[in-house]
Amino acid sequence: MKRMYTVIAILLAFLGVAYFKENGGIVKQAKPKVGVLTLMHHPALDQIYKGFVHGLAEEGYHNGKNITIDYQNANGDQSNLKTMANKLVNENSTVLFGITTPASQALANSTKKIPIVLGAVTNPQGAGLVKNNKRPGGNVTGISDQAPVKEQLQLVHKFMPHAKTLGIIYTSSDSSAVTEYKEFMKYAKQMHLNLKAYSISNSNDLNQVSQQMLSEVDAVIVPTDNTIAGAMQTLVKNANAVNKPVFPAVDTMVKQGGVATYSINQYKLGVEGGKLTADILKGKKKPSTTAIKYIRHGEPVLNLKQARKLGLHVPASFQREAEKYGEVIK
Amino acid sequence: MTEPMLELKNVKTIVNPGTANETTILKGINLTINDGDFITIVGTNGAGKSTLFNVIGGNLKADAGQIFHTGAEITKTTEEQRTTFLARVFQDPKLGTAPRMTVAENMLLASKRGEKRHLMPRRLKQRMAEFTKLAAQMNNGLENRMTTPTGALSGGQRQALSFLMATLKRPDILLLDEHTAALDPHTARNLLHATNQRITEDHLTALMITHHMEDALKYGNRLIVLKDGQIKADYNAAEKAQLTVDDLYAYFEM
Amino acid sequence: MNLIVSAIGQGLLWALLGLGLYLTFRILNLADMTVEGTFPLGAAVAVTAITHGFSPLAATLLAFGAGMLAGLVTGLLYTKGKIPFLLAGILTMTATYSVNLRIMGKSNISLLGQKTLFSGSFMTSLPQYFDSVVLGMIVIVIITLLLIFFLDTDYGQSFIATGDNPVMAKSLGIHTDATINVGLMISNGLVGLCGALVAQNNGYADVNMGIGTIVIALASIIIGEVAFGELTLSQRLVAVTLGSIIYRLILLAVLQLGFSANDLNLISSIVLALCMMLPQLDKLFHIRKPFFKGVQTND
Repeated sequence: MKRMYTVIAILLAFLGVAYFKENGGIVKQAKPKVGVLTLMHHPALDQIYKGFVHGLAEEGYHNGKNITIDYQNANGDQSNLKTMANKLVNENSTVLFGITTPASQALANSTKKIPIVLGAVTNPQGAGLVKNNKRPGGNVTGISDQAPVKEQLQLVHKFMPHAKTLGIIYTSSDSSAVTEYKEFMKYAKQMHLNLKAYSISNSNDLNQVSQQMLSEVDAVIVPTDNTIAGAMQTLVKNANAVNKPVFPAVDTMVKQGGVATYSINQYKLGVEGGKLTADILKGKKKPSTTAIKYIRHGEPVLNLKQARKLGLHVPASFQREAEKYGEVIK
Repeated sequence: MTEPMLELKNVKTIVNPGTANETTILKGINLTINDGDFITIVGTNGAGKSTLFNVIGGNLKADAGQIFHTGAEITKTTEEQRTTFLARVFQDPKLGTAPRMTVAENMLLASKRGEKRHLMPRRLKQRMAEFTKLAAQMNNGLENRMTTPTGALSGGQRQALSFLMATLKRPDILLLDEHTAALDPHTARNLLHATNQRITEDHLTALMITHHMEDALKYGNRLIVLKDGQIKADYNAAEKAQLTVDDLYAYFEM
Repeated sequence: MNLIVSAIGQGLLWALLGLGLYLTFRILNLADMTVEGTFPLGAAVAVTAITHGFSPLAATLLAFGAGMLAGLVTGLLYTKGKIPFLLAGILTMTATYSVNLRIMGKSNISLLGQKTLFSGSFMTSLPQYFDSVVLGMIVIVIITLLLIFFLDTDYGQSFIATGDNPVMAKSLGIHTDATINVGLMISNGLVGLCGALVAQNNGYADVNMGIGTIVIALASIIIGEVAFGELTLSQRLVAVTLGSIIYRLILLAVLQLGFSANDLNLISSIVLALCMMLPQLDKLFHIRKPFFKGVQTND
């Protein structure tokens, strides 16, 4: 019992001391620190980070030479995000880079002072990260990537003009995926396409739900969805088993076994983020007055190998377009 | 004027009804218990003694027949509802007291048997003297362990406390289910002595199941023999005085 | 250092989880899995209410109520439906996942730019992380005092008896089924309340927030018991809060040693296992004097 009172006394004393000893100003560092926080690993996010590092390098910032990059990955565990965000803030990062919406939110909640650059958030204003996409007003700015949903849907139709039913699968807990799924439904209605929706709550559901979906549709669409991106092999395996194509929103997922898409190049997204970060480090730009930069232009990506495997007819115009302006996987 | 304290009319209990294992345990019990009766009950294993207590206590529903308490029918009431007038002491000393609560706290709980408990401060300190005095009556040192969790007491002390708790608030009917069976002979004798003293002094109506024929003859004003789910014999005080242990054992031959 | 203040603040906020679970786990002797669903439920209700214009205080109270409902569901499944308790809790926990999605409309709602219990002028004027310390202390002190009072009433005593010896309790006229339901309601109400406070402190609610909360709650309880030895019931309630704070400090120390936040689950499990094995280790190696676990009296 005495031990308990002692502990309480120590804690209160400590709090008292800490209260009066306000934390000192930001320590000026010779080597600015760039803190990167991401939710999980999957090819698209990893590409963004790769691009980010190269974007910084193009502007003259090299990890270990004139900056330190602290890369934190929550490995899919949301509760880690807060801990890691606090760590980056408390270690006096100069600029922070957030990849995925939850990671960016964790960073934004941890500091209102340190500049935060969003790596790829579809709708920053909607996610509560900025007051206004044109004039963010706070310490957050960045790049917004909205997949060109309309063009993607038109592409699917070009590949499969006789398809009766299309299916779209998304993770209900992923706000970017949900935003895009709603867009897909909207355009499908406009184009008079029959698009059926399937949702999963976590990667464990993917196997069963995708099998169910594949038994009811002729082709599958996948929006920008972190969970499915991390479990793409399961979807591809099931789709291949019944010989049906998958049209994902992102180039990296096409490489993993999808057929084709107009995708925002994830690597280039990262490069933009890196450049913006560099501008902030140089003092050229300030988050509050830097409008969100939209990357909407999709590059054509074609997985010729997969198309051939499925016996799918590839529209010649698209193949030429991909060979000239995008990427073809043979 | 006076209705019998407890009356059972043709009470039956059936186990596994409607299946191949269907068995009738109590096969139509008719029993009238008057105010002040101290009945000892003997019977073979499986005769239905514990089942009888469970039916009276309410944790087992009678499948046929009726039960009355001072004239009012209680057949369909629940165990909790019957605790307003009924108290039990179980054979297992662990069942009668809350192990992590102290002797005093257990007694406080028992003092409110059957009552609605409200969000009012429990006022244990005010009753400590009263409880200590009562505990001393059991003559086994309970009064010195008032603030000890009952889990730390010996089996004999726990059982003595269980008995004390059952009679703290006067019950109309007291059920004693072989309550000394799990104790060593010396402790058992002490508890039985205290039991008899309390029942006779306070004129409690009590039923006591026992496996010891000597005790069945020695205590109480009435003796019932239960066999195969039926009352085989019901001896009043005079008849009981004439019985010997061998007479009782005769019932268990076969 | 700032980080220690943060750990204390988090420990105070999360202590509500431990207090809630203490009622069911230690006093009623029930392993309540509902908690992993109630926590995000409280967060979902509070955050949705706030984004729909409710005051933070009203939203937080709503979360408490929602938690109580979840506890009642588990209670009814167990007492009336006769479903084994562990399963009843798991069923409710699983169901709340979908309920939360319905309530929030999406998987994650941000509170950036919204009024919360932490956004008032007083809170923001405090040094960093002191907002969670101040609010945490106020809430914990009030709740702990209320619980101590509750357990000291006649009803509270019947509550303890229900968990300690249900057969005896029934024979004394205590309606154990009803008592268990009330216990689950209070316990899960507190957990929902905790979810609401943590969500407002974190700045968002997420359907997956509940994962791992049972371990955090258990850690608070077990560390509190192990660290402080023989205590009365009231003191044990305080020990739960201290256990929660110590747990956060342990995690902080682990992170400072260089472990990644990804290792936290493993570290938590190891710490908990060691704490729980202490009696056994003591027997083998005579480390510390043995301690008494459970509920003890107030006199």
